[in-house]
Amino acid sequence: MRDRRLVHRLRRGDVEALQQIYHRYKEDLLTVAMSLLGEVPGAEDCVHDVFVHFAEAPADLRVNRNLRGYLMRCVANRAKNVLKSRHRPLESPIEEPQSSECPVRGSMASEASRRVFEALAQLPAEQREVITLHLQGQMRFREIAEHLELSINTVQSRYRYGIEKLRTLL
Amino acid sequence: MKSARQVKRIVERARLRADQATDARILRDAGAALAETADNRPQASQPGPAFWRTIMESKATRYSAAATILIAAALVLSDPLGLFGGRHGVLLAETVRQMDQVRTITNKEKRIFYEMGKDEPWVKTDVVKYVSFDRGVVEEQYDEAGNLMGRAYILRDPPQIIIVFPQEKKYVKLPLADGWARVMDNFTPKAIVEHFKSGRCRDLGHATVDGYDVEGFETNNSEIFPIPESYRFLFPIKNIKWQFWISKDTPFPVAADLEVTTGRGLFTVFKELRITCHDYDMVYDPNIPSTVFDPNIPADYTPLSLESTLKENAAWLGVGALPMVGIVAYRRRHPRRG
Repeated sequence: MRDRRLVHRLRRGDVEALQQIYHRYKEDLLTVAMSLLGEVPGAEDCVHDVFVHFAEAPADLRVNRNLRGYLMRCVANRAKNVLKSRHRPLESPIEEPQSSECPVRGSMASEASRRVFEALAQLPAEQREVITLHLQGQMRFREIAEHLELSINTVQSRYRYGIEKLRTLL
Repeated sequence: MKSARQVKRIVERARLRADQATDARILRDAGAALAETADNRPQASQPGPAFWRTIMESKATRYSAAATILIAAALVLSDPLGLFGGRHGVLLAETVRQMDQVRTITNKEKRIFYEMGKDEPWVKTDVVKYVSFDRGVVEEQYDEAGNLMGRAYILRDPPQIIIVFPQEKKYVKLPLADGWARVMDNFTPKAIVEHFKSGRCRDLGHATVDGYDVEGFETNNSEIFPIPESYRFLFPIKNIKWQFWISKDTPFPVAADLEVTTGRGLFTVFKELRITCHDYDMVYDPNIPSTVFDPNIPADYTPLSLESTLKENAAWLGVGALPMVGIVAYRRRHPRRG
C-alpha cells in the first residue's frame, strides 16, 4: 500500500496503518538514528519518540509526497535535540559495548555495521550528518540542503570530505 | 585504502535491526498515542472510514433488526425522552423553578416501532429509565415476554456509551463523541427551559392522562434534538411530535408522549419508521443507587466486533454498500471531462 494511503488511514486513527508505516521504515530510521547518536538505546528512544509524536498528531502531518523523507528529517531533528540536551559533542566516539557477547543492547547490528557506526562516530558532526542522511536516509543533496538550510555546494563538500575520511577509517 | 564507491556501499549496507522488545515498546506507545488522539479528536474532524468502523463495531450492528433499533433508541431516543419526560413541563414558571432543582428521575416507557404505512407493530418494548443529571442515563429495554434485550448506559463521566446485550453476551463500548455530548448538553435543565421559553409550544388544554388531571403542551419540531449533520444518515429523523402532560396538583410532568418519524437509515435497518413512546410512572428525585450507573459487564461477555458485525449484517449492508462502491470506483477510473 502506498505511503499516501497509509497516512490517509493513519489520520483516521487506523492503528494498522501505523504498524505498517513503522515496519516499513523502522530499520532505516533506527540506522540513521544510530549513526547520528552512536548508541543503541539512544537510537531506539529517538525512533520511539518520533513515532509517538507521529501518532499523536496524525491530522497535522504535512506529508504530501515523501513520508520516508519526512520521518528521516524527524529522526535527524530529534537526534540533534537529544545531543544538544545531553551537551554531548557530536564528535564523541561510539560507546563501547559492555560485553563482548552482546555488542549492542536491544536492537542488533552485524559486526560490519558496527564498524561503520564506529567510523561514522569519528567524523565531524556536520560530515556525519550529511553522509548519514544521504547514504542511509537516501535523501538527495538538495533535500539535505533544504533541511539543514545550507547551500547545496556546502552539503556536497561536507559529503566529499566525510567520504575521504571514511576511506581511511574503513 | 578503499575507493569512495566501496565506502559508499559499505555505509549504505550498515544496518541496525530492531529487536522484538523494541518493536513492541514503540508500537505500544505509538498505538496508545494514536488511540488517545482519536478519542479526543473533535467529531467534526473525524473522517469517514474511522467513523464507519466505530459504527460498525458498535451501534448499527446487531444480530437482529430489533436489537439494532434498541441501540438507535438508546442513543437517539432514550436521552431526550428520559430528560424530556422530566424536563419539559417548563412553560409554567413554577414548573421551571421546581424542575431546576431535580437531580434524578426514573420512569417507564412503552415504545412501539411501526414500519411506515403499516398498522401492525414491528417491535414492541418496555423500557425502564434512570436519569441522573450528574451521572447520565441508563435504560433497560425488555421484549414483550419480559426478557431484558439490552441495557444502555449513556454516561457523562467519562463520556461514553456502553450497551450490554445479555442474551448474546455481547457488549459495545465507545466514547461519547463530541457531537453526542453536545446533544446531551441540550438536555440540561437550562437548555430545555430556554428552548421552551422560545414559545414553540401549543397549549393542549386540560385532560386526564394515566389518572392524573393534567394540562398538556405540544411541540412539533425536532430542533431540541439537533442530531449532528454527520450522524443523520444513521437515524434520519423527519419529525418529532412531543406532548407532555403537567399535573395540576404538582408542577411536574406526569407523562409524555412522543412520536418520531424517520427516513431510511442505518439504525432503522433502512426502513422508514414511526416510533411511538409513552412515558409514565415518573418519579422525581428518587434515590437511585449509584451502582445503577456503574456498567456491569460480566467477564464472559465479549465486545461486539467488526468481524462479527459484518458477517451478520453483510446481507443488508451489502445491498446499499456495493452499488455505491461500484459507482465510486467507476467515477475514479472514469473522471468526467470538460
